[in-house]
Amino acid sequence: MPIEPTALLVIRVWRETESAFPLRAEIRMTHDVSIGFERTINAADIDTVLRLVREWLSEILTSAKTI
Amino acid sequence: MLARPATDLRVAMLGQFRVVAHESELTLSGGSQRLLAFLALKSCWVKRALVAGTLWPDSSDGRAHASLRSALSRMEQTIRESVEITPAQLRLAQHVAVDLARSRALALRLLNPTDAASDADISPASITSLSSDLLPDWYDDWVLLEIEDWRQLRLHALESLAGRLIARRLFADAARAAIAAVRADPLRESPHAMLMRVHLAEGNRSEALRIYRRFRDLLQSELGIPPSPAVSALVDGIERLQASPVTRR
Repeated sequence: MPIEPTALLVIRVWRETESAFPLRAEIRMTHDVSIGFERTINAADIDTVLRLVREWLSEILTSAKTI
Repeated sequence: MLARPATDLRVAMLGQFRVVAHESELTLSGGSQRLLAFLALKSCWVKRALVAGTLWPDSSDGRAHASLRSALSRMEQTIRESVEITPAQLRLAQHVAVDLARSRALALRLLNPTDAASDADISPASITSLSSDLLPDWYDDWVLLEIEDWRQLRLHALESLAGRLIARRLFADAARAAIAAVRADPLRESPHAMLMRVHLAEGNRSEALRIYRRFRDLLQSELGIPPSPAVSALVDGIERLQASPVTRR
């Protein structure tokens, strides 16, 4: 019977108003919340954040854990 | 009917979750830990339904309530008597000391511009109180927002503390506070700027420049962007001075 772990992604965003690139995003993610965050990636533009989220969702859909 | 507290209890949630009674650390089940941590974060009366629904979100109402009753009944006597219970609500007894509450109050005093922080507040001990994350290895939904909220609060409080220590010319402690802020959020500009200001206030321009270059390299490697003009301006004059040839008379 497939057992699906709970995946978690947290995006923490703030603005550096003095910078020419004001968006700052810290993205922490895991495919299994019981083992904690597996990766942390930082980004300074919206497209990168969206790409990372999309990739993470795709990884989850294509993986499965079975016991 | 309220349960009467029987003993002193300390709940530590900064850095690591621990429960201490009479100077001895107690071992709790996972369910009891989560229940105690939840009540410690709320610091007020909480409806049983909210506690049960939050801690057991994937269960039906009936099962969640049963899980809550079970967690309460399995609590070691010393701890159970520090949870005040009514048929409808729960709260941590008022005499239970929670490290987060003390550190949060300190942070708010440091951030209040109209509040003259005491000498005890502007001290190395305060740096320690503000240097730990909340429940760092916990990932429950109800904890994540609290974790981020504390992270931001302590970051800004550390920066405020560093500024106050600079004003008192306690540069070593100011540097420690600023470094703690940098560690809390390595890609945020303001803690690096504060650390640079500490060194500049002490007259240590080369150290300020070193900090700036290290931050510049970090931003480049992580994000591919430069520091803001405001941060760069702190060391502009120093870089120009170092770049120009030395003229000896």
